[in-house]
Amino acid sequence: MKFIHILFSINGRINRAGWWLLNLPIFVTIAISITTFDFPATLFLEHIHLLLLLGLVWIHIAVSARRWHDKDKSAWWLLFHITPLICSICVYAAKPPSVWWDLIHVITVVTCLWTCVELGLFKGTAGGNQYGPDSETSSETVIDFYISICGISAILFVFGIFFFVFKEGAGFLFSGLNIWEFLTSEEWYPTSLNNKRYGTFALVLGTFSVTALAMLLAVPFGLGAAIYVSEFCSPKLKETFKIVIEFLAAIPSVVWGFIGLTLMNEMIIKVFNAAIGLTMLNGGIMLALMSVPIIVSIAEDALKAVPDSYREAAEALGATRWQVIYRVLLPAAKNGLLAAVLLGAARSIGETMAVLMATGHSVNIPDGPLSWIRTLTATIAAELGEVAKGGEHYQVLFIIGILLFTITFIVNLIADLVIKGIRQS
Amino acid sequence: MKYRGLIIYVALSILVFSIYGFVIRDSSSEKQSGGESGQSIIKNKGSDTMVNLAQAWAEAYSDISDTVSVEVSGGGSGTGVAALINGTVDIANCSRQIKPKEKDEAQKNTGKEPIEFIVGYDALAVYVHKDNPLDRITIPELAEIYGEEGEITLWHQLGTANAGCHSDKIIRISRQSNSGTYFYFREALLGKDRDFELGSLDLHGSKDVVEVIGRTHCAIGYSGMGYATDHVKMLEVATASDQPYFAPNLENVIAKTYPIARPLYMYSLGEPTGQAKAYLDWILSSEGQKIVEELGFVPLTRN
Repeated sequence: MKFIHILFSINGRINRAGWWLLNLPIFVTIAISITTFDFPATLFLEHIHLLLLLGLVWIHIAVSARRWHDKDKSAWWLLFHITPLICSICVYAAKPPSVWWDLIHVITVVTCLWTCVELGLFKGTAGGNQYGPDSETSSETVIDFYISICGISAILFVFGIFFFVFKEGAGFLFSGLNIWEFLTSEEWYPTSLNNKRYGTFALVLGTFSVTALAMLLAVPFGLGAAIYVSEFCSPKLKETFKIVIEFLAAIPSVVWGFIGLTLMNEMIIKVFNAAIGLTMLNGGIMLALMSVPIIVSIAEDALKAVPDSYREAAEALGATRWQVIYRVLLPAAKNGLLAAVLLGAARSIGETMAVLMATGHSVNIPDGPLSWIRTLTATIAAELGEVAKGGEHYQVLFIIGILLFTITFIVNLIADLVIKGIRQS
Repeated sequence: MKYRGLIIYVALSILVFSIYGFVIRDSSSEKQSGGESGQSIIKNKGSDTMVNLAQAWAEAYSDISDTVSVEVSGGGSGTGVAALINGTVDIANCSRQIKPKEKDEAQKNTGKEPIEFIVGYDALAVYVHKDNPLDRITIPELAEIYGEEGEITLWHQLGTANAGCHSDKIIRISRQSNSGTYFYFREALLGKDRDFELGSLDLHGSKDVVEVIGRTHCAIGYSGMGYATDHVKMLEVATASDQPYFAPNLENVIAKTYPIARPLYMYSLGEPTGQAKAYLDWILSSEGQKIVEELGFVPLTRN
């Protein structure tokens, strides 16, 4: 109710900040939609577009009316706002190279500027007036409104994405796809001419094995680094260390993939005497390098959040440094550390480009770190580009998307439950 | 007095609404008339192998000509020819030659004969590491290496000792399963009834295939013959062990003796005229052929 009033009502008052906060986005939207966008193709969309613009104009008028009230002027002053409109009609009537045409433009610009200055820059009357009480805090509701929009939009986006992915895959998921075969068969032949088989078992196994390997490498290093940075490091070294780690996080994944394809490939061939270096180990190392920065920075925050009194109390009781870390800090920061590990794992599961380039991209049941594998994400990335939109193969790739969604959802759910369990005990 | 502002609002919004309406009418009517008079459209449909090439041609051509836009769609050589028979496209892309029956049908349906243009070649070379002693291979051997439940998995089964490859296992390099290259190679080796064995490294791009083979002693792979580097070797290919072997080069491709190559065709209904003729001429010119080479196909002549 509060928000409907702040957007659409012409009663009451509003201060300058509120006027700007509501009007700037409107000006920008209208300017963009009139100048750059093509008018939407269908009649339905055209009407929606029109309604949206009309809504924005309403908000502009309502807010401006309240702004005039704030200055103890009646809403009739809004009539100045239509001079540009009248002028634009006149522009249609007047032929371009004429005195009238120039005059109309000057009038338009002057009134626009004047109303903008009058409403946007000058304060309203101090204290109450005939239209309402003092408006000093009225812009806070507007800020409230924007913050709520941000919160709601996050939820909307998640559901929107899920809806889209599900919609694209739903047709084949419910009619035609053998779900048992989809989950348990290792035969991935999406483009066979007379015997199409959609089995993702090898792909799921590939995703899990490379993620597990990455975590095996990344978690000890990540947590160790976090403990070092938060407990042992001198403050100066700490700053440098954090900058370097953040730099590691800023390297794009295609660069990691390229390093895997060339440098790490050579190294694995040399060190392990392997036939080819594009293996699960290669992908696992790349993913570990990518998730270590996340694990370090979140784990370090979690350790920092443990109150110093805990450390002091433990040391007062005669605990050694190691005992303080092992017995006091790690248990106290448990939730944060778990969150760090799970976010690192989520990064690994979702990573596409690096694993596409480094793991060999081969439908294969892995039998060790030197076997080549293929992940769910890499399959989508490699095949979606050249697939006929709406076809069976296309839909199966979206069903893989649903599968990935489900996997991450389960991981997050487990994490939530574990954290809740830890809290209760 | 309470409703004063409301009345103002209604008046204003009616004004805005009507003016906005005028603006829309005007601009949209302008656009339509512009579209009908200025632009002419060439409809181009067919082979999926050629769809990227056709798209690249269309894009490059739109930079040259403002008045012609080329609409490209895929769907396969068959759909392209079908559309040609129905007279719904100007140019059909085809990665196989048109059948006499289809030619007759087109003649009967539209009164015009399909005219054939060879616009480039699609030739795949079989690559191995440069230190691999193997020089030549037959199609049946390749089929046993790549095909489902194939019998050749070790290098010595091909009659050579690949010293650089310790495990002696053949590492098959392939492409992602819906690329045109993959489709063509599978068809050339195995026909339409057999699939590739899983467990090959399905790389994402013709360049990557050659790159990886150059670093891997055990690897064999296929890619466009334009991608060769110093680190790899192209094998000579024969259709059977008692047949002559042919190296993948331009002469053999054009002479149709190299077995894993095919011409790429474009068909127009009757002798092309006007914009379609200009477009086809441009495709056959050195500028159009440069794009053929850029996309990994074989141009008609070396530039």
